[in-house]
Amino acid sequence: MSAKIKEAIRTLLTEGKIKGFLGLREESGNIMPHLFCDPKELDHLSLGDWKKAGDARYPLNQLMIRLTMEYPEETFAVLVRGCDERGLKELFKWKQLNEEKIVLIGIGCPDELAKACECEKPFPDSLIDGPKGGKADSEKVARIETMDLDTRLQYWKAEFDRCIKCFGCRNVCPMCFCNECSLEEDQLVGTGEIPPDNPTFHLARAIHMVGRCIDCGLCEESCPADIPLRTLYKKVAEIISKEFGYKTGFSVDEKSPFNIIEVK
Amino acid sequence: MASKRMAFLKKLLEFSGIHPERLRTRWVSSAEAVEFVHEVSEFVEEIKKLGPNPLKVKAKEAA
Amino acid sequence: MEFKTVLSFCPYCGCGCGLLLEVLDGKIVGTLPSKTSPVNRGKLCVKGWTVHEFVTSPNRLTKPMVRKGDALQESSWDEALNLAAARLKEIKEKYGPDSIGVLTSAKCTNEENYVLQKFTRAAIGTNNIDHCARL
Repeated sequence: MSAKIKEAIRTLLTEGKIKGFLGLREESGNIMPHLFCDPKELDHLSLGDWKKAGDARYPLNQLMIRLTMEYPEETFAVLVRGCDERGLKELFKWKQLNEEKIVLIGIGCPDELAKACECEKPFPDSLIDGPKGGKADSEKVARIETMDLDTRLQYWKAEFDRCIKCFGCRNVCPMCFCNECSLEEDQLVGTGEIPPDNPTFHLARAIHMVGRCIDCGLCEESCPADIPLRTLYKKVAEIISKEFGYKTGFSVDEKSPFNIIEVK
Repeated sequence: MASKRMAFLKKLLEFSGIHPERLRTRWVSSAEAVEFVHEVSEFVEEIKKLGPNPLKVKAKEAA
Repeated sequence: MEFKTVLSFCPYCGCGCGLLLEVLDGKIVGTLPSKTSPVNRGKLCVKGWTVHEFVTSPNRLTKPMVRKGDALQESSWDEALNLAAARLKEIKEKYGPDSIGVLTSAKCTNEENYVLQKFTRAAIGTNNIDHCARL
């Protein structure tokens, strides 16, 4: 627990600066998202430390969009790690959230978590407490690139063959907010087929992650078939960074290279 | 815009084990019928050399 | 205003995956897998992910309905219950209790399913009861 973070939230609530703080609550050993509106509730505040530090994470940005759609005039605070903040920067640009109405409560990720995520930047700019970890070495993508073309195809085909089309990767993604999802389009990915059209389903999702994926890893964590989705999306980010010089979640005004629609 | 997406797609296909040369982009005007035929014929020859779609082959073997 | 997530369990198969129901101002608006449930550890199948949809589905009946001729028509609880009781009694007397079968649902609560099986076995007197999760 971080006393600094708890106090920051308590102050915001008692001074009436926010309607509520969207974070995590612990109850009987379970950790779940919660909107804290009363400072007394902060006794149950959790930072997502279950078996290891930060190992219970949820797509809080996605829940925030739901709250602000219902209460667009209110100001909320939200718990953010490095990845969450990257997500918010993009969501502000996409006009899914209003930055004037969101207060960021930043927490840094411990070394173990940053390394497991191979995180580009495991702490937010709005850091209140927690370590300011360094960029972790990337290995997952490099491992695939040592394989020749045929081996790669066999590898990915085998991985995608285990897919049960639960849509967990899309449902949990804090950056997926489309009202109509291409993956549900029968002409693209036939309905009623398990595994879904290989590799169309996963490559289509990967393409949609351009300028969107913030590398939070919730997709891979929610996959019941343990498909290495993060490796695929990390490669997507690498291609976009090399070819177009764009890194998702790092700029407050630069738009994704695939975004041609001016949002007014 | 399309050229950006194509460049990206080729790299993604390559990462997934699909030969990048299976995807080709060429700009041909509708008035250039001869050039169009030439491009398509050449592409067909290239693809024949690469062989059938490995994904479809494996699907047939599995069935 | 109130937003919270409530720990519950998937009503469908026997796996018992832990999930969180997103509740905004007293209404269920979404589902998330529970990261801290030992059974599923943050993963769900497509049925578990869409559990919230049937609760607030516009297809749910809001009034009892009785078939009159070819069409189903809105009715009252008294009329519907009296008709069901009378006909079941009639069929049981004429053809025996085993001529009646009862189909329940995984979308019902445990308590509702308990009452239904008690009704089938004790009141009607047959073992012909089954449930969509067994199919």
